[in-house]
Amino acid sequence: VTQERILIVEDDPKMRHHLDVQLSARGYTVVLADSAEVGMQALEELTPDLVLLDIGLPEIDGYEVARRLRRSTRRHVRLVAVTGYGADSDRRHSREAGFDEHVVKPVMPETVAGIIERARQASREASYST
Amino acid sequence: MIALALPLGKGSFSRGYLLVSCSDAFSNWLERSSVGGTAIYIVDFAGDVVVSTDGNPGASGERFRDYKPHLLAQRRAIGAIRTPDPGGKEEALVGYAYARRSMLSVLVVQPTASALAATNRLMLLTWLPPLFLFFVVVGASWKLEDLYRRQEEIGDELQSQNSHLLSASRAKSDVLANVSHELRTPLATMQVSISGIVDTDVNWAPEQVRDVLRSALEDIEHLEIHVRNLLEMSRIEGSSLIKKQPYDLTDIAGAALEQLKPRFGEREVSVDFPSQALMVECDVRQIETVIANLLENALKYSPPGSPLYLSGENRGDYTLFTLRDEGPGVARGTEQFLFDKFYRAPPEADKGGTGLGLAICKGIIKAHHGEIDVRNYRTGGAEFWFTLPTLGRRRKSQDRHGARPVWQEAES
Repeated sequence: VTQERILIVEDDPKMRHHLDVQLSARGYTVVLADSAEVGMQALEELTPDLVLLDIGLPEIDGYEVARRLRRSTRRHVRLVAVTGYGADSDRRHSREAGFDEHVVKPVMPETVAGIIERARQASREASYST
Repeated sequence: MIALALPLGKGSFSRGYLLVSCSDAFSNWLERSSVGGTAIYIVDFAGDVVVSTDGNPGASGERFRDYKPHLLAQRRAIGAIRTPDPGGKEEALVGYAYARRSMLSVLVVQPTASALAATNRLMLLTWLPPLFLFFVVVGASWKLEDLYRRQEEIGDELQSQNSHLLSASRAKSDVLANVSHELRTPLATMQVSISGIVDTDVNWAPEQVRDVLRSALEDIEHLEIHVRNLLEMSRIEGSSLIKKQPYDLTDIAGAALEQLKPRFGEREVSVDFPSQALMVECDVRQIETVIANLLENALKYSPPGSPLYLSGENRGDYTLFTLRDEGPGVARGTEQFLFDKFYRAPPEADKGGTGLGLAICKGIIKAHHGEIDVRNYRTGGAEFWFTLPTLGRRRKSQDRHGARPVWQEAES
C-alpha cells in the first residue's frame, strides 16, 4: 500500500502541529503550508493525494485557492474544505468552488482516515471498470 | 383660544396646518369677535390673507401688499405701531405678530382716527376685545412654534438614542463573535490532539503523549483567562462591590507571574521590586487579573523570546507598577482607544483576542482610584503602567484621582 501524501493548508500553528502529529502517526506523509500562497506552491511541486484546505485563510481564501487549482490543472486532486460553517449553503458554496468534501472544524484524524478510505475505494472501482 | 387649543392637543401637525386647517371655525369666531371696526388678519409669507375678521380672505390680499406687513413682521416677531393718522386713509396697521415656523403673520388693523371721528368716544372700549384677541392669537402662534420645536427635539433625541443602542448592540455581537472564536480555537486543538491520543490504533510514545497534554494545558490556561475576563467584565459592569484588603503589590505581581510562567518560553523576565513591602489597599484577585492581563498582552504583542521588564516602586502617595516589552510599541494615535471596551489592534497588528483585557484593567484600576496608561519607551517597545494609592498615605485633596508618575528620563 502506497502512503498517501496529505497537504495541510492551515494558518493556526497549533492546529497545524497537531494535525501533523496525528496524521503522521497513522502513516501518511504530511506536508504543511501556513498560507494559501505556500499551499498553492506545494500543490504544484509536491502533487499531494489529498488537500485539507482551510477556508478562512487570510489574504486568499480557500474557495479562491480551489477555483484557481481547478482552472489550472487537469489532474484531479481530492480537495477537502475545512471550515467552521456547515450549513447547506456553505456546503453548496464549497462544492461549486470545486471541493470534493466539506468538513466542519475541528478536523478529527479519523475523519481524514475515512475520507482517504473512500478515495482508495473510488480509485479501486475506477481501475476495475477500465 | 378654544378654536386654537383643540387641534393643538392632537399631536402631529406640520407647518401652518393648525391655523389653516381650522380656518372655518377660526374665521367664524374671528368674524363674531370683530368689534368697533378693528380687524385681525392672518397673512401668509406672500402677503395673502389666510383668515380674517372680515370673512373675505382673497379680496383683502392686495391691500396688504402695500404695507408689506409680512416683511415688517419678519424683522421683529411682535410689535405695535403707533403711526400718526395717515390722513385720507380709512385704516391703519396697529399691531402685528409673526410665527416664524408657520410663516404666518397676525395683523391687527384699525380704522384711522378720521374715519372713526363719529365713534371716537367709544374707542377706549372697542380697543379692549381686539387687543385681547390679538394676544390670544400671538400666544397661540408662539405655542405652535414651541410645540414644533419640541417635536423636532424629541425626534433628534430618539434618533441619537437609537443610533447609540444600535452601535452598542453591534459591539456586543462583535464581542460575542470574537469570544466564541477565541473559545473555540483552543477547544478545537484539544479535541483534535486528545482524540488522536485516545485512539488505540496508534502506539504513542510517552514523549508524544506528554507533548499533547502540555499543549492541552496551555489551551486550558488560555480558556481560563478568557472566561475569567468575561466574568470580570460582567462584574465590573454590574458594579458589584470590591473587597479591599491591605496587600503587598510585590506578592500580587509574583502570583500573576507564576500563573503565566508556562507561556514565557525562552523569555527573560526581569523583575525589579524593592525589598520593603509595597503596601496597597486592593482587591487582590482583581489586581492580579490586571497584571496577568498586562502580561498576556505583552506576550501577545512582543516577539517570542524577547525580554519583559516588571517593576514596582513606592512614590509616596501612590505606588507605581510598570511592565515594559521590546515589541513594536503602541501605534501612534491608537493610545487613547487602547483601553476602550472591545477595542482591537488595527488589522495588520491584531493578534486575536476579545478586546476585553485592557478595558477590564482600566475598569479595575479606576475602581481603585488609580491610573493606568501606556507610553512608548525611549529605546522602543511599549511600557504599560498603573498606580494605586499607597496604603496609609493620605492623598492630598488636589490629588484625589490618582497621580501620574513623573518619569525619570535621565538614566540611560
